[in-house]
Amino acid sequence: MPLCQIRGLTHYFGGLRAVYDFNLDLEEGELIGLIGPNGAGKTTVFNLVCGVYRPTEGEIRFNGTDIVGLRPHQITALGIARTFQNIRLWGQRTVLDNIRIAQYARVRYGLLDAFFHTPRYWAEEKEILHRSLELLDLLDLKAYAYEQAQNLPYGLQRRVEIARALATQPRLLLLDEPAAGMNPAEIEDLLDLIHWIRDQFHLTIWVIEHQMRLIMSICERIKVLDFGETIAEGTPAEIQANPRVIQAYLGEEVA
Amino acid sequence: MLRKHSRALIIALLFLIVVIPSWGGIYDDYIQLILFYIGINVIMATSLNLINGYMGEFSCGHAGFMAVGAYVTSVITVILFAGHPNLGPARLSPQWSVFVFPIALVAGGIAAAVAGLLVAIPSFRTRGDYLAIITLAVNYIVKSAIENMEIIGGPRGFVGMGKVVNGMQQVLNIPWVLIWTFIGALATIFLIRNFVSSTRGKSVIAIREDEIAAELMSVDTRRTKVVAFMLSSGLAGIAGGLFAHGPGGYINPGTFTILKSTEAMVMVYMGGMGSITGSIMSAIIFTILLELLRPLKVFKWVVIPLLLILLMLFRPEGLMGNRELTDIFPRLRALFPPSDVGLPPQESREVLEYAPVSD
Ligand SMILES: Nc1ncnc2c1ncn2[C@@H]1O[C@H](COP(=O)(O)OP(=O)(O)OP(=O)(O)O)[C@@H](O)[C@H]1O
Ligand SMILES: [Mg+2]
Repeated sequence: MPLCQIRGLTHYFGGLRAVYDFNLDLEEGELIGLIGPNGAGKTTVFNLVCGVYRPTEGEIRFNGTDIVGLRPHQITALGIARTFQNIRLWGQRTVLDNIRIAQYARVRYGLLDAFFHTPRYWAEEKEILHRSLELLDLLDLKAYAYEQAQNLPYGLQRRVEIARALATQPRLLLLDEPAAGMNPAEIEDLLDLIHWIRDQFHLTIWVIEHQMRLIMSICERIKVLDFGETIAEGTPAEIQANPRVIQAYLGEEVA
Repeated sequence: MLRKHSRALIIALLFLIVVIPSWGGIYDDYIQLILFYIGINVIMATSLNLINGYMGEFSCGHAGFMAVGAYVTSVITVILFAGHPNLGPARLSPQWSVFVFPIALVAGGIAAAVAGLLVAIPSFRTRGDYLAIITLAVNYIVKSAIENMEIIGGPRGFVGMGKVVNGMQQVLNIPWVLIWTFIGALATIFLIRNFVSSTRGKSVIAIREDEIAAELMSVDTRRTKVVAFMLSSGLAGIAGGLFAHGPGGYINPGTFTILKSTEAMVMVYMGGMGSITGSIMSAIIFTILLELLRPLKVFKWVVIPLLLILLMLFRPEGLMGNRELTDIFPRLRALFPPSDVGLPPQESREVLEYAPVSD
């Protein structure tokens, strides 16, 4: 059974049809891409999966559960985490606090423990701290643990956002244009990072990307959206050869 | 070393500066009154800071919750120990008030927290700035509700708390209410500091900085907001209960108007949003300022907003911004018991050593 199953997903913003009849089966461990011109509805698909918007129509099953109508934090707790097209870290918090807060759903101590800092509180906070530092270490971010997130260079902020998403312990990771604003060297690093976290954390990864270089080299399967509709689906090679895609999107780059 | 005993040290210091001189008659009634108001205002400012500062919402009816606590606490103590023309004679001997007073305070706090829950549920159902309007309305509603309850004196106010306090003083002649006020202020600081340094409580700050990101990073934002709001209004209720047992032993609904709520807001913004030490400092400064300006009568409400405007112009982030005193003078950390495991390595090592667990 696929990890995530999307059927007939449709969403309207008032009169604007942002997504229409979107279908997708995500198999465990897959690395899949979603591309399309600006305003095609890519981010909206992510927002629907994460519960930011409730779809006008359609079905989303994750790990066997119907997640339509759940609140975003519940969906995250079930194992879907994401990064944002425009970085949305808690900029004035330290990198470490960003990672800690993302573990909210796993905190087991009660409110009274938090109010009175009971031994149970300390024991668990200590665990959270070690887990957070370990994660930062894995992602080569430990040196910045006590920096305010907003003071980090752009590329590192992107990395922290990925770390923060990982801190929620997802099974499915959604990356919304992770390479946006990166230089070629940073993109190379990112490619390695994405491959590496998939293996390290046994993740299924779904990427939205404008950088053809990135999407073509890492994704096993790509879906193409245009005006909310799926216009193509297939391997990178198939997509590159698809006339509709070339017309709608790749035009300049391939020609 | 110092840290392990710092709580005891702070309490001892407060006794030395506040309680003992009051008791020994070194401070006259007037100075004691100002100390009492400072204590109350510390509770009001720090608790409101949780909502308006840390969480970045805008609650403007804090005095409404103070009123709930003031009336609930007073009705309990007066029914039991003082008697009231509408509520019948005293039920218990006044000496027992020594034990019951703190319980009544907590009961007032719980009542105010429940009122907070009733406000929080509709306000936080949807995103958007409903809280400001709803809290404003609630402040009015509470005030008019009390005005219309003849059984507790209506607009004329409620009396009898003086007798309750006398009862306590018969047992032991110390400034009971002042002592409880400072215990209340310390407890407020302790609770809020603990909460916002915990992973759970930090979600309050995450909501301020980016609510959608918080929700998507697994934070139950609605629950967090409700919890924070209940804690904040509950503490305001305790401030109310203490306030009602101050000199005079009299409260009336006219005390708990929007003006009182505004005072709390002024203290929060003056001290700095998201700074506990800022709120404490501004509570002290503001209380003293109010006293100094008392001869101006109504005109003090010209001077105070003016000062506020000047502050907003020249230091919009308030006295402390959203830093604590310990961020400016890290050495001071040695004085305070640690609370946050997320401090830089050396600090957090000490925190972890301090933590009563070992692995
Ligand atoms: N909250 C919203 N309210 C109304 N319209 C919206 C909203 N969010 C997105 N849209 C519209 O829906 C369409 C799809 O937007 P979306 O952000 O999903 O595009 P995208 O494929 O991610 O584009 P980009 O490559 O620019 O990020 C656009 O026309 C956009 O203007
Ligand atoms: Mg987008």
